[in-house]
Amino acid sequence: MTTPATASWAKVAYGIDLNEANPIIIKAAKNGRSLAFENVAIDTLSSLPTHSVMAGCLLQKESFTRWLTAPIASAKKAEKVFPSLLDIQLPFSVENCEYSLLQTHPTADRTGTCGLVTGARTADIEKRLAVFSASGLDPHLLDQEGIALWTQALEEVPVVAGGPEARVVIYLSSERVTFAVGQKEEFLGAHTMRQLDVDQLNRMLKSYFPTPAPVTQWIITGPEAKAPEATETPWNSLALKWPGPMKVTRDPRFFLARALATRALTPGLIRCNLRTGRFLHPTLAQRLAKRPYQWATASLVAGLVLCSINLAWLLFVAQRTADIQKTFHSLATEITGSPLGIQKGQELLSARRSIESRTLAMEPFLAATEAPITLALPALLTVAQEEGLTLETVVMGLKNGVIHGMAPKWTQAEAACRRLNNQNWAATLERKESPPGEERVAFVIGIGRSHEKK
Amino acid sequence: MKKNNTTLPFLWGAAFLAVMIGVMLSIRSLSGLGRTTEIWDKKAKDLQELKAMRSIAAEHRSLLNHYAQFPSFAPSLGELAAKAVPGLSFMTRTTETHPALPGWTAKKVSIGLVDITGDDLGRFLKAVGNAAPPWAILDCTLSASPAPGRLAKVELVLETVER
Repeated sequence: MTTPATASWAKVAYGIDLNEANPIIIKAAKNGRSLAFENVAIDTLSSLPTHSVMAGCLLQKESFTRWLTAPIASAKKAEKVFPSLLDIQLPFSVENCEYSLLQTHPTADRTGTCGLVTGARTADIEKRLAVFSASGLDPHLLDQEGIALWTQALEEVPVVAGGPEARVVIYLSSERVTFAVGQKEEFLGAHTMRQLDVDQLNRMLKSYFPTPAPVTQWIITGPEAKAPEATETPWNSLALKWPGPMKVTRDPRFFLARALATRALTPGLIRCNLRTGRFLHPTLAQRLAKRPYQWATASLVAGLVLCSINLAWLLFVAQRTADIQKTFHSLATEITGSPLGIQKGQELLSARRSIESRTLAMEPFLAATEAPITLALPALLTVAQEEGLTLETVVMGLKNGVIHGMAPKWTQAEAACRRLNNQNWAATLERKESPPGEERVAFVIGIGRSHEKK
Repeated sequence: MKKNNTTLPFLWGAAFLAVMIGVMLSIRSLSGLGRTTEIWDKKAKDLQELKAMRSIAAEHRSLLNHYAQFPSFAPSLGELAAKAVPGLSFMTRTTETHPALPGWTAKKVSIGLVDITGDDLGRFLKAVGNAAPPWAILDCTLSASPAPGRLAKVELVLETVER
């Protein structure tokens, strides 16, 4: 199980820069998506609140950073050979180290994998922890100085599109000068020296950039950082060889502590914790030990939620089906007038049969109410009289009828038929042959209920 | 954190079981979803039909209630004819009686009218339609008369319901 480099569970982080006699401590508190920083005294750390984490770092001189290249395109497979490659590069055995692979990316020709590794000898880690312990401190996380400087500089002085390609972050203190070098956002390496030695710096920069970059971004920070005067000889010499803008960070004294606190709280680029293995902080060890239980519990809860959702759905389906059945039975009972004889699932059939037999039995009642002939006959007689028709025979049943008659003109027969149609009767007109010598036009009108048209 | 060594395997076992059951139930629910939707759609249509039948049944009940307010027996056609067209000559015969709904009988009577004016026929028809309970004309045959405004022969078949 890998040790997380960031304590994302924490709400507060204390970044400790043990650079000077008085340690510099910065408290970073999560404030929405941003962090609120505050300089605090060392006695604040005597009793840490829950959900807080302490982060220190291994100095550049106590640790190393290496870019390794494995001739394997698969990053996962390359990760397995990086320890051997590291072992070859280091002047001491990798088994005496704690190290961490921070980043991988394919080589330019995509046939291999590059990996950034940082680490420190266990002896150095022990020494560093002893230094912390002497100050009454027990950091949860041990970061790496050069990398912390690099990422914090990226955060505070972001890379500008079209800006300088080379980037140098210099941390100046009375004890040491540490600098991190990179190209755009990519970290290339970090080094340290007792005091600023421009020639050494120049040589090291040349090892990264054999052809000096046209413009170099200089970021100056640390307790001793100040904007260099143009006349200062060392800077003047550097500016001539590596020209570019020089920027002093805000609150440079607290920069490293701020970097450590930020990296401890927020996940991001190349985070690391070298306090692993046998050095792992008990609190983190406890958290790591809890993790399998947390995963198992989360899986159990997820499984139970899945079961619950499905059971709820099945219950809902059963309930809805029962409700529908109940409604069906109630309606069928209302239609048939009795719940007797209605079998489950046969409600519709029972209701249909009941309504059919009842409609048949209700016909005498319905006939009187609808009264088709009672209404049709007076209407027919009126229309015939007004249009001057002579009715010879009228035969009408409940649903239809036939009228034989004579009209003075065909148009009058047509008008009568139209008027009957307008009164919601379905009337059809047919011309018949008139008897010899008869000037009037013989016709037959078929009449039915308007809905019979359909 | 002191935990019994058996706790973690037990937790993982329970989690595995819960997830497996959950997955199986999900598969069952999802595979039955189409069928359930189909059944519910059909039930919705059947429900519409049942509701339509319920309104027909309600109309029937309302009609029966309306008839229940009438006297048990319908006035005879003779009475109605005498009242509507005094002196009208006619001939009636009960053609058929048959049970309608329980407690009700449908009575069919035919009536023949001879040489009647159109106006008198209209008055007679109005009287039978307004009777309580009303008479319904099931069938009618009219034959014209050579005399204007008169009908030589009228044959009517009427029906009423009585308790």
